[in-house]
Amino acid sequence: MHLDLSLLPQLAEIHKKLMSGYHISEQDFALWTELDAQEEAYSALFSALGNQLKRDSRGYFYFDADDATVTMGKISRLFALTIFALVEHFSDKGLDPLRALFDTEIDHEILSNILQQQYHLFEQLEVFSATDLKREVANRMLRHGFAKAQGDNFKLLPPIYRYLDALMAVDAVTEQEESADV
Amino acid sequence: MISARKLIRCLDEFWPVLETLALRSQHHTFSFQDVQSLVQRYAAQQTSEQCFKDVQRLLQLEILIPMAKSSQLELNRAVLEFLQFLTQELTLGTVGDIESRILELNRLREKMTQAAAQKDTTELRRFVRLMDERVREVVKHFRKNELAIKHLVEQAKADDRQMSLAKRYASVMDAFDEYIEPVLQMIDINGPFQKSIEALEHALSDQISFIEDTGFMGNDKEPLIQLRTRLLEMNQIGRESLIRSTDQLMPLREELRKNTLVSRNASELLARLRKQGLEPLLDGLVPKFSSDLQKFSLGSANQITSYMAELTEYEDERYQLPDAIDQTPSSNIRVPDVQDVLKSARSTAKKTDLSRWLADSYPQLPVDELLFLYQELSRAPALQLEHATDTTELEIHGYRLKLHPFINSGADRK
Repeated sequence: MHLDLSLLPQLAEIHKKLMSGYHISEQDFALWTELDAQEEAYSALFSALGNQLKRDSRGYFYFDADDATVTMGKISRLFALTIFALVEHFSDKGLDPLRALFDTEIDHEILSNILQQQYHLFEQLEVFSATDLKREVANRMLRHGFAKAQGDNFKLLPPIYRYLDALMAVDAVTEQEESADV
Repeated sequence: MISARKLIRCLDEFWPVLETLALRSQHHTFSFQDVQSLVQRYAAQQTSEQCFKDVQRLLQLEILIPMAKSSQLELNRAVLEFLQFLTQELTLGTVGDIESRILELNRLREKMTQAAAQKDTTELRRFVRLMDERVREVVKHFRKNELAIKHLVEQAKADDRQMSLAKRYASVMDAFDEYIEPVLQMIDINGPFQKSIEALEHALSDQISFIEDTGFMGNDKEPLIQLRTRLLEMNQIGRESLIRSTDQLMPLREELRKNTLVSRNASELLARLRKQGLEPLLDGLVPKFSSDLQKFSLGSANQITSYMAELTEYEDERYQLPDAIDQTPSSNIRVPDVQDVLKSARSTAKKTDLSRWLADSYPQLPVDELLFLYQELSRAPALQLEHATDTTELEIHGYRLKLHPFINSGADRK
C-alpha cells in the first residue's frame, strides 16, 4: 500500500498519544478528523509498525494491547471499579446509568459517595479518600482520554464503553465459568 | 335535534378552548368554572357574563356533557375523537379492534359466497359494501395506531430527562407488549389474519372469474375488483405500518434493556468483588490499553534512529574486581569425606569432647571445614552425642573458639 505522508501531518502526535495508551475520541478534534479521514492509511502504517489500530463505532480510536503492564493493570482495575461504582451510584439514584455517566459532571461529592459505598474495594487498590480517588483515577482518565476536564470536575467520554462492554459481558463470563465448574 | 352546522361553527369558534380540553381530558375531568376561566383566557376582552353564556352554549350543543352524579364536565366522546383525529393526538387502539374486523370479514365472505351461489345480486352488493367498510376500518386502525405510537415515542423522548427511562418509557413498552407483539403474531404468515385475507382473496377472484366467464352480474365486477385491490393494499399497509412502528420502538426498548442490564451487572459484580476480592475477577474483565511490548518495542523510525545513535556511542563499563585481601596462596588441602570421619569417630572417638577430637585428628583443615564436620557429626545419631554443660576453648589457626562441646554420652555412661 502506498502511503502519502503529506496527508498525515498529525502522524507524530497521533502515534505518540496512541502509544501511551491514550484513546482519541471526537473531542480531540484535529486528531480525530485526520484519523477518521485517513483511517486506512493509519491502520496500515501502524500495523506495519506492530500496533493494531482499533476503531469503535461509538467514536474513539485506540491501540489494541494484548498484555497490560503491571501498573497499567492496576490503573485499569481502578478505572473499572470507579466506573462500575458510578453505574451503581446512578442506578440507586433512579437515573439511567448509560445516560447519567456521560451527562453528569463528576465532582468531589460523587467521588466521596462512591468511595464511601465501595470503601472496602477501593481500599484494596490503595485509595483511601476522595482526594486519592481524584488523583489516582480522574487525573489518569484525563491522561488516557477517558474523560475531559470541566473546571475542577470531569466528564466521562465514550472510550469508557470499553469498560461498559466488559460489564455487559459479565453474564456470559459467569455462565461460562459455571459450565466449566460443572 | 342539534344542528350540525351550528356545531361546526361552535367548534371553530371555541377551537383553542376545545383543544386544551381535549388534552386535559386524557388525565382528568373539569368543572364549569374551569371551562369559564379557559374561555376568559382565550378571549380576554369578554366579560365574565359573556364567558358564562359561552360555556352554556357548549353545554346546550352537547359538546360538553355533565358527568353522572357529579358537577364535573367532560367532552362529548364523539367530539373528543373528532378533535383527536384532527390534531392526530391519537390513542393507541388494541389488537382486538383489528381482530374483530377480520372475524367479521370472514363471516361476510361466507355470506357473500352464499349470495353469489344463489345469484342474489342485491345481497352480493350489500356484503361487498360491508366488507369494503371493514377493510377501510382496518386500514384506518393501522394508520391511527402508527400515529399513536409515533406520538408516544415523541412524548417519551421529550419528557423530563431526570426521570428514569423505565418510567418515561412505560407507555412505550406497554405499546410494544400489548399492541406490536400481538399484531405481529396475528399477521404472521400462519396467523389468522393472513389466512383470512387469502381465503377472501380467493373467494373474490373466483367470483370475478365467474363473472368474466359467464358475463352474468357484469355490473358487480368493478366493486369486486376494487375490494380485492383494497384488501391487498390493507395487507401491505398493515405490514409496513407495523415495521415503521417497530423501528421506532425498538431503539427505546434496546436503550432500556441495556440500562437495566448495566445496572444489574454492576451491582452483581460489585457484590462478587466484595466477596471474592478484586484480582481474580477484574483481571480477566478489564480492558488493556497499554503494554510493555508497545512501550518498549522498536516500532517507530524515531525510536530505531535514537537506538542506533545510542549504539554508536556504546562503551562497556569496565568491571571493577574487588581488591585481593588474602595474600597467602591457599594450600591444596584434601577435605576428608564426612562418612569417613564419622566412621573414624565411631571407632576411635572414645573422647568426650567432639570439637577437640576433630581439631586433634585433622589439624591441617581450615576452620570452616572443621566446623562443617563438627556440625555434621553432631547431628549423626550413631554417635549418641549431647551438649556438655561446661564450655571448652580451642585455638585453631589463630581463631579462638569457645563452645559447649558435644560429648559422647555413650562413652560417659561407660
